Amino acid sequence: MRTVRKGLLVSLSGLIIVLLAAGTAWAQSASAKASASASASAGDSGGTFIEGTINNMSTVNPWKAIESPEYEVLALNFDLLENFDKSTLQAAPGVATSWTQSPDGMTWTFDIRPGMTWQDGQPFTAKDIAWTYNKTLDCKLGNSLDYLVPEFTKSITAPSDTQLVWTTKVPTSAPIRPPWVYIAPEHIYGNDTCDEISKEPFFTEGHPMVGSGPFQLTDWVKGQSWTMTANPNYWGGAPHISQFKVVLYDNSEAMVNALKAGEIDYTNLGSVDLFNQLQSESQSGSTNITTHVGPAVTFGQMSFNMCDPTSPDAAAYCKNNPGTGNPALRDPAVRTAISWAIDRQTIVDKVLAGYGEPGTTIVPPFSSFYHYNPTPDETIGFDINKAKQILADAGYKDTDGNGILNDPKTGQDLNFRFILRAESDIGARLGQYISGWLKQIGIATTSEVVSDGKLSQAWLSNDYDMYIWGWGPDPDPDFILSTFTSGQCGTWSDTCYSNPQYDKLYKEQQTAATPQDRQAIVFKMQDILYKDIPEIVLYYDKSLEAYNSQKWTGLEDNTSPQPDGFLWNQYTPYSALTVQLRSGASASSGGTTSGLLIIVGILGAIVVIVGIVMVARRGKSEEDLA
Amino acid sequence: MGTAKYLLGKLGQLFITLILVLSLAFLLFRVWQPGDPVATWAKASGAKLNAEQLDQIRHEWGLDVPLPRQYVSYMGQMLTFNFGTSTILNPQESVSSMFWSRMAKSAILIVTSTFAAIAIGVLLGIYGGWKRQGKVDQASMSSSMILYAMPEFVLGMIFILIFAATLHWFPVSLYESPIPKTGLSHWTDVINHMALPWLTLTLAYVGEFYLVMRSSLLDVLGEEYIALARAKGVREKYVLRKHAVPNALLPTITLVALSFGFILSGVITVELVFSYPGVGKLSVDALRQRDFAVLQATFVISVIAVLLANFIADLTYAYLDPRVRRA
Amino acid sequence: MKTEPAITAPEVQTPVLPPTKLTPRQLRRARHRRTLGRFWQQFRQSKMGMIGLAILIFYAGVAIFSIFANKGALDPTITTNGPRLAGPSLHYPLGTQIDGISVLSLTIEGARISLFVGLSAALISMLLGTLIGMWAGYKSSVHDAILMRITDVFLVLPWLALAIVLAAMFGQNFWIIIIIIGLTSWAGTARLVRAQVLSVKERTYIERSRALGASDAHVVLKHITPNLMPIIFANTILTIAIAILSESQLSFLGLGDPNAKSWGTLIEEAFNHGALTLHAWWWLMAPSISIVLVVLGFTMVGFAMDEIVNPRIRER
Repeated sequence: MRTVRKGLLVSLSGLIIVLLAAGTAWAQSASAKASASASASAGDSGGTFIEGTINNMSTVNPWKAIESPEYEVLALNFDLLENFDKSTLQAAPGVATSWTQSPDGMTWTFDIRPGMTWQDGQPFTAKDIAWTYNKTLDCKLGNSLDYLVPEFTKSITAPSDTQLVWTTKVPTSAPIRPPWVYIAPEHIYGNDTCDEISKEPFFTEGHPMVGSGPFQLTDWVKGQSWTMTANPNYWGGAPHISQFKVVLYDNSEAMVNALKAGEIDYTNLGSVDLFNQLQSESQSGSTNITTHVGPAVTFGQMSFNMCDPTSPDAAAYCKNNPGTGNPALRDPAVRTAISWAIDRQTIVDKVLAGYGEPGTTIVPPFSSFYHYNPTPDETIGFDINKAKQILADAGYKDTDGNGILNDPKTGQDLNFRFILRAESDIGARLGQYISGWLKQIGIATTSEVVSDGKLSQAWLSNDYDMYIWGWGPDPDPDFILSTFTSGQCGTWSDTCYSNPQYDKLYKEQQTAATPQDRQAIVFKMQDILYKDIPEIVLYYDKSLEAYNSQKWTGLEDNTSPQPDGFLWNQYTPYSALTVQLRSGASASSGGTTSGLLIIVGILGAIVVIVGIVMVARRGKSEEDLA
Repeated sequence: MGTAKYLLGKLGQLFITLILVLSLAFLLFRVWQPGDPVATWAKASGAKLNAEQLDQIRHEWGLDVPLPRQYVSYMGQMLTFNFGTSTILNPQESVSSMFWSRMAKSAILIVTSTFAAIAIGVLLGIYGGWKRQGKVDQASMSSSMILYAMPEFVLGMIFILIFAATLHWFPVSLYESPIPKTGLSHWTDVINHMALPWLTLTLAYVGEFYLVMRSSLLDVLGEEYIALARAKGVREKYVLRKHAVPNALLPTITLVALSFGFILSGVITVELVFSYPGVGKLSVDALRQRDFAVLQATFVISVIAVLLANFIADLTYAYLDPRVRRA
Repeated sequence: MKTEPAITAPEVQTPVLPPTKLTPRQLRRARHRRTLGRFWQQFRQSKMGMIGLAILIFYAGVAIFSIFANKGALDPTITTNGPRLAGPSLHYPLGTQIDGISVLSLTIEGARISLFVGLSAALISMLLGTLIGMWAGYKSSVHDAILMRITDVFLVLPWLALAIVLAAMFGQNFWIIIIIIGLTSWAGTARLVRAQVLSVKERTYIERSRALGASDAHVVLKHITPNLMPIIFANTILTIAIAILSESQLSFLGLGDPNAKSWGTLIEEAFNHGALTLHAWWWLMAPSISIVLVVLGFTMVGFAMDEIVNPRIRER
């Protein structure tokens, strides 16, 4: 009897499960249709352009920003004194419509655009610019302080609402780099002390983000999303879209799925594989996504330990922290041979899957005005035999026959400690390729993959021979050039390279009166580094973008820096003003839970069967089952 | 009375172990950390800070105090789940909030799959041990051994290859569709996404529980009092239910609790394979970026979870084993 | 890592031999040989054990072969002109991966690394666990209590979290992986050994031996250890299986030695380079199946040994 009751209960529950599954499936298809029709009807007339990212934003304080998404917001919310030119990234008219330099080169006069307003309606004048710059200098605020050349700036004043005067102690073209310091309204932050102005949180009820740019940050759900609303009174013209929103994702895969599902409109991908997948789908015509290979604004480098405590030119820090660098690397022949032995094109083709360019000089090509292209006869290519020849000519022979060359001064094998970053997803592969090539020319390597902490430790104590890292420099080359000065050893110098001639040239480019003068000096500096090889620039890696081209237009014809610039998140926003909806909206596809329901249905059926079996066996006694 | 003393004793042991492990954590994350965490963070995040600003941060992070004082405040922080701010993953965001927001997702996965694995494993183990070398036992033995030999991430990838990438029955990854749904369809969406990870975790451990229960039952069935009960003519099923199984369950529970630590490690790799946004995936991301603040929290939380699981096992043991109650 | 089922100690009986002119040492050796012979006879009858053994011998062969195999096939600067991510073919029986390197070559090389790491880690775990377990079981209760507390700490330590932190801090070197796995897995063995020592300690011939004035060392070495050897051996086999699984987990998370690529590292590379989305199943499956087979091999052998060594489940 008990078995029958149990059996019936079991069958009943099984039946319920099957009915639930069927009901859910029916409800789901109904709701999918409903949501599809809902999205078909238009929302705002201007539309919201949504970007997906995996990089979180931690502050929107214009003086404390570091991460890329923070700069993206600031670039839209605020203005700089001059815009970045759409192609050359040199100074272009913006807030400052024109400027003149005094004959002695030490006074710059800017004409400021009249009739501008802040996003809260208050008038924008040259006085705001002067206040912002002086506040930055006085409080020594932020990462962009160097752009105001505190060493050489004498005064920055606004004699009238539409004129800004910047005087310096020596001639310099720094005021038209352009200075990457966002202009903030004095009428809102004017009463803040140095501490108050850099406190967090910056964006609050009583402290709104009031700038003069085309968009204003109006909402921020920390760790999730942030929204900017269009400024219809922007001096450059109102944007077409009414809102711009950024949504934060946990990982690239989720983000790409969202893009494909129409949930977001644009993304900048870090993953080459995902990009390739999107690209092949887009080429086969199966999606509404268009992929775009953007500019190479970052580079990967292999740095050598150039700290030679015995040299009279050695940096002070190097003398105090001599470390254990292999002296063989101080021989320029060795470094030159190594450079000839690395096939940068293969690295781009295999490791970067083609999305990059072989590296040459330290100012990347996207900064087209300042990037130096080595002449054909000084260009270092890939030639194993030439590398071997250079080493042979310099006296390196394999004296013990083990396949590794020996240092003629010490008789030791040439074996270099090679450090790779664990955090980089291509670090280990790069190391493998480079070690392979070096082995072919008779140089052995001992590779290690370590965390940034350990690498920094080794780097600060000069206990390494070579390592791989990278930089994403600003368009203006001042900072990246400074990292090779002897004064930066122990701070930002990758190699503790110390060359008095180079140090002198660095000072000269800072005080060059015109950009043209400066360019000549900057070219010379890059040439020195290219020949001295304190580090090898392995590659410039390109940005990978994708956007929903079925829904949006106006991006591809306005990339910056031209040609093949970024579709979005430009140094000065151009595409942000031209992007607009195409006519018609895309319907969102609902995900199906078909697999789940199949399983549930099957399980339910099994339960029903088990119940029936239990009922059917009620005749048997317990002993028979033993 | 006996139970209370037993449980208090276990609680005391738990606390001592916790203190010891947290002290180890202090050694690992403060004393033995290579490099200067502030300088590393500055270089990694590209912040161009001068020496003053770096010292300021060092003060904020409590690193400029002598070690013994650091130890005391460290223990206090860990016990109150104050894990500081993330250094690299989400700069300046509180580590505890990063964890709590993901905890529920991982918890559902872990709890449901562990229970399923225990239930299926134990039941099958009893049947298999009872009908030793029977068809069920042989089939279960072979599949259990194969599942035991398979790393859980391999199992997960096989499921993805077959059920998601090829048959498209289930989504390839994540917790929910990118378009947030509401109401019932949200829950079915979540279950749909959770199905394969759940299946992976359950199957990964069911084999082990089966083997443990089976061998434990066989041990017990070889005991003298079982032979005695059988000789007295007690029915086989009764022997099982009243004598063998309860005694066989005891060591099984102990071993199941011990394997909870391994279940947690399995969750880490499974969440990675499925990009499931739980605490496991967070730990892997922290590992990739060497965010030691988050890794520290992972370490401490895992220890506490394992200790809790052991304590629950002790509670169950006390409930099941009359010897404890009588003591 | 997973747990192993309980293994209990049997009684070792001294066989009765006719009086001969052999020395005590020769007598002992003869006895050992006989025990081993008997053991092998029983083992041969276990189908499971023999299959497992066959698998292990095969992979041991592969590992040894890898020492002499051509290393150039693993160098991406040399294979750079071959097909990339190509499926299995005549020339590349297991296909190629993203740098054009043959997956078969990588899998063969990985055999040596995975087996070496697994065996070494298990060795450390076995030595540590046995020593501590014996000390705790044999010595006074104070030693026992302290050692057991330490063992408990290591039992609850989340081994993966600890391994992640240690590897992240001290670097990704296969010696470090070996030490980490060894350090985090000895506790189970220690508990097992201690339990066995406790039960063997009270047996009559031990008391007899002590009454005759034998030292602790003598008792431990001559009486207790031989009793435990079979158990420890069976346990070690299973520990090796767990060590190999643990190493693959660590490598999958990216902590493997990039200069010595184990199977786990191969799977990690495949996964991170999108083998799943690019449908390059061969890159994923070759190392995966190898891990499963080797672990199965050790598990089968371990279980077969367990069945022989544990009289309770041997026959009914």
